[in-house]
Amino acid sequence: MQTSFDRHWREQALAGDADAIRKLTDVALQDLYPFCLYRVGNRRELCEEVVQETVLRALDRLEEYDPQRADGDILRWLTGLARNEIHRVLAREQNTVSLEAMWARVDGELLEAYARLDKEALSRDVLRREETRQLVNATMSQLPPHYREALEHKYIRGTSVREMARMQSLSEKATESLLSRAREAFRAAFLTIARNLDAQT
Amino acid sequence: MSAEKIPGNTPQDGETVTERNLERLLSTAYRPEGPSEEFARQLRTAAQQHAAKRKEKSDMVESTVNVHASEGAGAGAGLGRIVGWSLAAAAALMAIVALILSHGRSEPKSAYRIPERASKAVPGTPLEFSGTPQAPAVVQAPHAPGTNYVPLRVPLPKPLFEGTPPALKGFNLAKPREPGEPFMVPDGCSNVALNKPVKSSDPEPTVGELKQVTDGDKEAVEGSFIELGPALQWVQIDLQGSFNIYAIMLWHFHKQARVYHAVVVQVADDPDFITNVRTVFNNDAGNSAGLGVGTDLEYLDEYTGKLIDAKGVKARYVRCYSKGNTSNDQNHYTEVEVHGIPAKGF
Repeated sequence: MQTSFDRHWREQALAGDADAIRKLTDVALQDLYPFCLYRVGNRRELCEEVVQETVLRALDRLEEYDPQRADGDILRWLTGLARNEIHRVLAREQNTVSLEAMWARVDGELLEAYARLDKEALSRDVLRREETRQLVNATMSQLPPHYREALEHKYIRGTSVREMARMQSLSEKATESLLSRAREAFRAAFLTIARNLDAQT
Repeated sequence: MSAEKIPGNTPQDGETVTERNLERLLSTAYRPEGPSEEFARQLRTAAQQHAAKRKEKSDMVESTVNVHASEGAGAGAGLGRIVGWSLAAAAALMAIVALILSHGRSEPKSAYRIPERASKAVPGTPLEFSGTPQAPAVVQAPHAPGTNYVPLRVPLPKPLFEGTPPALKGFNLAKPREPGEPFMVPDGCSNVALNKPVKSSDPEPTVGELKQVTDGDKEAVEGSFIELGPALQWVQIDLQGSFNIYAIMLWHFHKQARVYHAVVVQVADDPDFITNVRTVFNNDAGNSAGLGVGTDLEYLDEYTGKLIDAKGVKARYVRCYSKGNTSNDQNHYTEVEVHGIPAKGF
């Protein structure tokens, strides 16, 4: 169940309420961290720096967070702040972080396999490649949290649609629909990233 | 989702190739990479402390305004009221200015508390330390009369280790220096080790090159430190001249909270450390290095570096020993600085 970062939460956070601050760090660890990781070349130490700076900056600028405008979803605001931190870190690191280098090992054959996602079954070899794992992780990290959560429930934890529906207080039909949209979002993001890699290599 | 249907067992009937591929990608290839538990703990603590500090500051401004506003109201109508409000406004302004000024300063820093955000480190400021006293700090040697002493200025690297260090039970750690307490050195003192040749008991470091020990780069990032083999190892700097040495600063590896064991610093007049060898620091209480029983305290390696008072000792060579650390058996050096002035008569 996702926390709503509404006006009440903001008041509590501004008052230094420990529970409210913990909710913010939970989002940062669960959703912001994966979002940042692949944007800093999969370097954990840089990701940690970005996430920590973003959280502290968010606390400093909490008055600027408009719960109504964000519809209670603070992640979008956090990712906006994080983008600046990522930019700063990448500028500082200059040549030491090369996002392209991260994918240097992705060969043309693999990219072709990704491109045929809609046409033929991916081979076991492709599925086991480290590059595939990285690409899937990068794709998942860019999805909205509710899509990512739905896909993780379904494909990682093996939760049934019925159970997911019960957990989210949705009908089974609505859950199927959510999963379908999540899969489509994943597919689109996966192919977009793979195509960009193809253009770079 | 537009895709061709594949008949047969895989994918199952009614399932498209795309759906099957997505399912396999997610169930086989997807391995979520989350933050480490250590980082999660650090972030939570840092955020809570930051929020509390922020609230404290905001309350301070509020109470200042309230106090002075009520004084202003009590002053009556007309001119008195105007003066009262002016006072309140001035007091609030002063409080805000004080906050801004304090924001720019390094907060009291301790090995036992989460420090302020990394970006607040001000490189080049006089060394300032504070912390939970656990053991006496090093007392600086008395100054020579007639010499003009100035605070030692050392550009500090960006702090990367943030958070509560792991329990270091059994360690009687030296406390960092008090805030605002500069370390005084004679005017004209500089880092005479910068870019000077370095040799080591491990001539081929596992990571990095020996010259990095004196290259002026103290950042706790990849490419800034060297890693020497396990057990007792040393690095030695040839100052290429005789110097009166007043301060030696060590940065082993300040990315994580670590204590390096058997840290011994010696100076000598010859490269083989045979003639006139003097020990300026030794925390090897068990004499595991065989260089004598040390009486100095162990310390947590931090971005502020370990400052050793060399008391003006005259020497050409500086050798730093260590024997592993609390995280592993390796020995690391990010930078060694030797602050001194050319010895007279050289």
